[in-house]
Amino acid sequence: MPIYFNAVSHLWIGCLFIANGLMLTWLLRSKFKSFRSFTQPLEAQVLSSFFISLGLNGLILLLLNWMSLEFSLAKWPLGLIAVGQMALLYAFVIRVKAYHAFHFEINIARAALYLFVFVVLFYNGGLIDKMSDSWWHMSLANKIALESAFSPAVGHLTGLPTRYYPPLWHGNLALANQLSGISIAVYWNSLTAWVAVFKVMAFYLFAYGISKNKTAALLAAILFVLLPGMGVAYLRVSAWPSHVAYTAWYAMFYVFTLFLDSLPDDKASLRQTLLPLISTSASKLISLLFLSIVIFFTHKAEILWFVVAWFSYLIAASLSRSLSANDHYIVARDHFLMIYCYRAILTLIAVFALWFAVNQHYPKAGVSDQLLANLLPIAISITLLLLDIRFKSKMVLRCIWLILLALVLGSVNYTHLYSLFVPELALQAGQFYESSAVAIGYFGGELQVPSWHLQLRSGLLYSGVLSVIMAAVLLIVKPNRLSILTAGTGCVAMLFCASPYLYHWFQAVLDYHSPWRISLMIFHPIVWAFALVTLNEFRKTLANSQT
Amino acid sequence: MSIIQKRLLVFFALASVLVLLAYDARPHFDKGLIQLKRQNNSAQRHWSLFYDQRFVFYEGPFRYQDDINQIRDLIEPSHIVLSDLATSYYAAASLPVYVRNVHRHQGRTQSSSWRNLLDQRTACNLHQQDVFSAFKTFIDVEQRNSVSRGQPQFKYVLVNKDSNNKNLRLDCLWHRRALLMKNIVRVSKLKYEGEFLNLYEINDRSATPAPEG
Repeated sequence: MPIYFNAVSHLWIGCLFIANGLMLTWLLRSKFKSFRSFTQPLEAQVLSSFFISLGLNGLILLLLNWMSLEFSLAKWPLGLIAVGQMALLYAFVIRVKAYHAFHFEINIARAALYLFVFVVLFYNGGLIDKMSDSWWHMSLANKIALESAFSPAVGHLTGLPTRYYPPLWHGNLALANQLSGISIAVYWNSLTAWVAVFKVMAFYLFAYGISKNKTAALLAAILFVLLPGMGVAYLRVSAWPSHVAYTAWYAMFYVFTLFLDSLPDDKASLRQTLLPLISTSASKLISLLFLSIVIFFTHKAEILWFVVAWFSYLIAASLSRSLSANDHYIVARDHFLMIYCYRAILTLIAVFALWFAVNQHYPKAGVSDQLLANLLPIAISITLLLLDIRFKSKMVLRCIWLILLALVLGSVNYTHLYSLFVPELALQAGQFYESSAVAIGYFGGELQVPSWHLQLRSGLLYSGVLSVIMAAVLLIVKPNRLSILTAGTGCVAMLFCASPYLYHWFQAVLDYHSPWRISLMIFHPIVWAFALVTLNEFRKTLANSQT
Repeated sequence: MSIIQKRLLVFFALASVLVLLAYDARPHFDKGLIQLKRQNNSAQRHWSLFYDQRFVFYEGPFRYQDDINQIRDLIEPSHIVLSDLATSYYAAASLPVYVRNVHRHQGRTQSSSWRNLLDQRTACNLHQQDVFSAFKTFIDVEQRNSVSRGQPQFKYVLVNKDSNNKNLRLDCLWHRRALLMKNIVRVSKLKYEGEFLNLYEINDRSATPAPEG
């Protein structure tokens, strides 16, 4: 069996997608202490190398495109950069014996996990053995390579006009093809193993950043490999641009949680908090910006999911604060900076939703389900704002809670929710595979809901959907950054998938064909890993108390 | 609640979580699932201990690379190639050509004339005289229109003769490849004959006058 037919391509991947980035990572680590601190895990250095290489290659291709030169000429600037970096490494690291730049942190269990993922995916190969969308992407990469242009003159597949697709990943594939002469399909197959490992590494970092517990993070990474989940968990699809973006997305969570760790523990003033926060976190903020740029030019949508995830975090933090029986201050939940941000975002959403509703319905008269769908986010935003204000009267607070529950639970279509478990009860789906299903609203109007068959049923049953309940329990038992984020993202994602009103509004606002991908925010491997660690702690505590 | 009861509760919770996780993780270790998916033409998206590169190698275009390299030197770029669904994608991903036999959501419906040709399986039934005449008319109209509009011209037909790649079986153009190869030479000439791929260049009929009326 010819399993080594793509062996040479792996060497090229190392050269083009790692080498230059790794040298620059080492140089940055030798110069910037803060960058060194958060790139200490091996995973962070590998991911940094990968994304810097992608960005660097993309920048060179952009310049060549701008100068109307062949992409194959990229070998000269890339070679020069490599040689230049080697010289700089010698001058600033090796000659002055600043070997700390090369240090990294890893343990055997994590190394074994990554090796296992690489070997299995090397053996399994990428999803090119079926006629999936991967061929659409390879066609785009091929035309970018042939035309030495990021935007081929006409539609790359049919020769007819087509939509714009962010070209960074395709450009990098085209570059590899042009420099090595190896076909794009071979790269697609080989890169699957690499990006699968990067994705698991990024997920480990995300879990570690949010839990600060290496055991929980390792467990989460193992569960990420084992459990089914939404598209992101499909490891044989790892060479797709969306999966490169997911990797950057997880890395963004890691960097952002470290940024949040810089928040002072006390209730300092805005000035005392903000300026030191920015000055001490410059490298994290630059990294966040860089990762956002990578995502923007690779797949885009993950920037939205990142913002929605942290907004969900703020909602969960606010609701947990409102429900807490005591005034115990939890930095991850009660910091005034987050409260300010939360209220500002809620106000913005309410104003935007109002503007959107007016635009959609004015001057039409009468009540319809579409109008209700457009008004619901405004009502929920106002209720959430009111809940964030700590009323002294418990009666008022209870009333607002009741209104919120009525709004949220009243918007859910329970037949649709139930059909997640019983496919025979599924609502009527659209003509095409990716079409939404149609739910009938209170006024007989048609509203969109995601069909569960769109990776959702297979991804959610059962650990996915149960993790949402478990995350809510963990939020009550142990309110910390991890439980707040996972409960917030899980509940918001499930709510948007089960509520035709919210989903319909979300789809209309985004004008995006797959808003059901909000379900990516159900981070069930982290929830279950944290649950296992917490249960084990309970077990140990009970054992100790008995002895 | 006594300590024993609490310990039992924690043990039960831990065991339940582990059972749930083990249940959900089982597809990676289920050999039968691979066969089931292959029978139903369903994609194997998750990794599996029992999936291997043979499937990728034999159901991908890797074995056609020599033919593709030869064809790349023979064709004029930026023209349209007609082939079966899978080979169309392989061609688009490795040659400087455009294809129209693609999935619906990727542009099959953008051109009504091509959609009709493909949906009516015209090119699969060229042995029928009336269908062949319709195909010839299609070529005339397409070539004339593309020249006048400055669009990519329908110029090549690519026939895949491989019998191991299951993806080819999705299309009648592969099932009836023998008939296609026999009849297509009436409007084209064989430009390349390889181990797996045959390339036919359609005769230039753009100068053929349009029928009156």
